[in-house]
Amino acid sequence: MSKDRLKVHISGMGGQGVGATSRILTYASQLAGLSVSSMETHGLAQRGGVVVSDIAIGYGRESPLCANGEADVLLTLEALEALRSMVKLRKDGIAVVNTTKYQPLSVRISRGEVKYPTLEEIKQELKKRTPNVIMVDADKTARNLGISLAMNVVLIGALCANTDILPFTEEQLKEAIKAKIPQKFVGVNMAAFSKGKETKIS
Amino acid sequence: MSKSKFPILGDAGTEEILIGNEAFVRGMYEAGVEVAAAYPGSPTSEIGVTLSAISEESGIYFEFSTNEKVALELAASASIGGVPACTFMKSVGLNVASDSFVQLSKFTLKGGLVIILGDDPGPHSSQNEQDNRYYARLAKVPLLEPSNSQEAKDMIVFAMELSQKWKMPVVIRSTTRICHGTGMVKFGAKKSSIIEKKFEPDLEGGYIPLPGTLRPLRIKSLNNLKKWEKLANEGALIEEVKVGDGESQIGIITSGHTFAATLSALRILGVSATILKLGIVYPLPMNKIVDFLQRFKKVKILEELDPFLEDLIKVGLYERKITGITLLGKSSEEYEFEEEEWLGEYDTTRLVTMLAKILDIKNPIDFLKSEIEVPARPPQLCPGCGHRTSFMSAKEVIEERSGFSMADIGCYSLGYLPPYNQGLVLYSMGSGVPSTSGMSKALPATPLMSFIGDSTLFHAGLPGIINAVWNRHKQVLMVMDNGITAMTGHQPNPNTGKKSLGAPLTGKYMNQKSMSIDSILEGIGVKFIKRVPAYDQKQVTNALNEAFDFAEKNNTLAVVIQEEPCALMRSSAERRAGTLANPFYIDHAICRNIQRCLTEFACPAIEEIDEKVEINVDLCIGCGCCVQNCPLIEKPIKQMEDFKRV
Ligand SMILES: Cc1ncc(C[n+]2csc(CCOP(=O)(O)OP(=O)(O)O)c2C)c(N)n1
Ligand code: SF4
Repeated sequence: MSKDRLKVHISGMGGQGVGATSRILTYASQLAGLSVSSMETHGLAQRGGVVVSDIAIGYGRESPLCANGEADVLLTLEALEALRSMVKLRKDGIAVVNTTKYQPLSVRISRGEVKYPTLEEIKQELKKRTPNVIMVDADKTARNLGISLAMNVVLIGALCANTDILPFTEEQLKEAIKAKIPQKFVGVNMAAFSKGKETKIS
Repeated sequence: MSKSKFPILGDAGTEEILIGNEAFVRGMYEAGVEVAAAYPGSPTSEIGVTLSAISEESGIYFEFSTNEKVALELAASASIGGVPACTFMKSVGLNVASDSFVQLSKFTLKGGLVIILGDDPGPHSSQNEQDNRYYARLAKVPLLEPSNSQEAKDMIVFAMELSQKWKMPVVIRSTTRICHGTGMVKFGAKKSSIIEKKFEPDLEGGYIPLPGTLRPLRIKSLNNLKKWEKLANEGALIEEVKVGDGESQIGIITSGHTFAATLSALRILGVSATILKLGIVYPLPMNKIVDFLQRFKKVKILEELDPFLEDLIKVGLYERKITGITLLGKSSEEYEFEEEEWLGEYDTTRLVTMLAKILDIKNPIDFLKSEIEVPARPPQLCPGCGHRTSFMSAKEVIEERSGFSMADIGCYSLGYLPPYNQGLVLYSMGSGVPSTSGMSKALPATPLMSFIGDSTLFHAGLPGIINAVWNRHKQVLMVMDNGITAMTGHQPNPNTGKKSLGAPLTGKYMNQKSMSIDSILEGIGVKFIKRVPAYDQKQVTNALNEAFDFAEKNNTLAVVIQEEPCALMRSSAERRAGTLANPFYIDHAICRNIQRCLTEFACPAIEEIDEKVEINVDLCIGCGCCVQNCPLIEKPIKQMEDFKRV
């Protein structure tokens, strides 16, 4: 595939920072001089419901939305949402999954009847689509650095280190992180990015 | 480089990635808009939030008005006085504003008036997915549709220019995908209005539509529409786009985000086609459309929701006596009604399927769905939301008395979802009390109540409340006083003030004094008003029981006001300040795993892990509301003493 086009699908739960993650990748594309558009979908407010953001890099005036099976990259901030978003992932694309779990209402009030799948089940399911599945405990990594909010940057680091399909350079990505994060958190976020880069496809 | 701290106020020539809603604001700035007013509503809420933030620096007067009708009347009247003005609203907001909206085209709007509509096919965040294009036809107002952020900005400038030239209103209809999508926007120069600010009561027939004065005003508005029809037929905002290198296998007529998604669909299908992209959607450039139709063997109209273009185009063909064209709309080729095509959004995946079927080619989309069942994740009340504790009390009282509760619109509409199941009839904002009144006529012996938020009370709630008092409708009303318009992202309302802890307020709303709901209700003549802390379920339950007894005995409306600042707003501010209370935990030495906190109280922070209840420390805001829902005398839910939030 050409290196000046990319479709990204980011998903998570309301309040986790899907929008912020999207803005970093969008800005990195802008720095690379590519046309870019994005679309956040968050339904009825953002009260713990599903939030997704689609990014289309190099697709001109087309809709930013990923068609089913079209996303080159799937980045999910919450484990279950990786399964919900799996329809968007293209064959042999790359999936970066934060292993943090937030139980949806349907699970919590079911008295055990509705199950939240295990991380292993989630991973094996994704593997049916692509060998490139990266499960990252990004919350823990970020927390160890002293700021849980940097979780998404850990995931971005993991993505950057495990693929060569990104249409922007690592330098541009770092510059985008610096530009889109409050000044006083830039240091820890750079550390979070490096930590994320240590992750390997398992 | 621009000096502004707001990127959208940058100099001409600057390029910024903006969401559609920000692009609209940039458009207003460039068009020289001086007054804007609105009531919040998704997908247009961020327009107001952005305007509010830049108000001082840009010089644009902006206010959150109490409802859409008030906002529209304010903006239109500023325009009558010579000021370039703007108002905007979500799809159903126009229902509220419609009584005055339908008058606009008869008036001479000297300063110019642009109205932005945010329709919501899907719907993503509305109680209806109505197609507001019909309103343009009803009210004789031209309607334009942008297909991305750049066009969103440019169309405001274009619309304002013509609005001022012909002194008439212009509507820009966007949808959720335009409002929330981002794209690169190249800035133009800012214009300043040179229109004289002066009220001329008799200008071009004046402003009093009465049976005796209406005819010339109607004629004027119809003539104004003709100017737009001419403009459209001359090719304004029309674009013909050829996709693919081969001969076009189909012609497509479309507009808005569907245009952008059609480009994606054609790429995926690998099909060559020609698209006629419409910018002016009402009145239609029928001559251009008819020319286009005659050039293709098959033409498909791609429009979300209702067959608005389709019906008008079919009329145009009939009038021109043109037959023999294969025009595909929302019915099958055998002219059978296909209801599926009237529903929801046309995203790329769906368009690929539709076009593959029409062209009789294989659908190339290849995807894999999880075979593991993925549990639904519906939106829910936030951890610590005062609505939750109140619903616990209401549920208890309603069930004990074998009554029902009616809903209204706000975060508390989520009380409908399990496990609370409160609020069972909902039409629109402010409908809760009237639906309770009506139900009381059907079931006079059944205890009935409804819920209403502060923003909704001021928006459209008061007429129904006054009616219930005036006509003596027996019922209980619970006012959900969280001091903010929460559901749409925390905009101020007349009840916002010091008690709205953590409210993100700017400009004149910063030091606002909250209007007293209690005094208003008293003034109306409500005889039972009890204010209680929302977090204390015992107090809320007692107040509700007292209210029901009072309502029954006096055959009247009784009101309980539950008070607690929106937990999301307060806790976000406290998180930032580092003052958020420590989370709670379960002491498993005491917990008997009854799980009432988990399944009945259902705070998002309370999860089940390895068949035991655990509290998620990230989500828990330390309010402790769950504790009162544990039936044990010695409570196993305890607050952490040492905890550092990171
Ligand atoms: C006519 C109309 N305008 C706007 C909206 C969007 N909207 C949904 S809920 C809501 C306000 C809710 O505020 P409030 O009643 O105070 O309840 P809260 O969300 O704060 O609990 C608004 C404006 C709508 N649904 N209908
Ligand atoms: S936003 Fe505020 S009012 Fe709405 S559910 Fe969350 S805490 Fe409750």
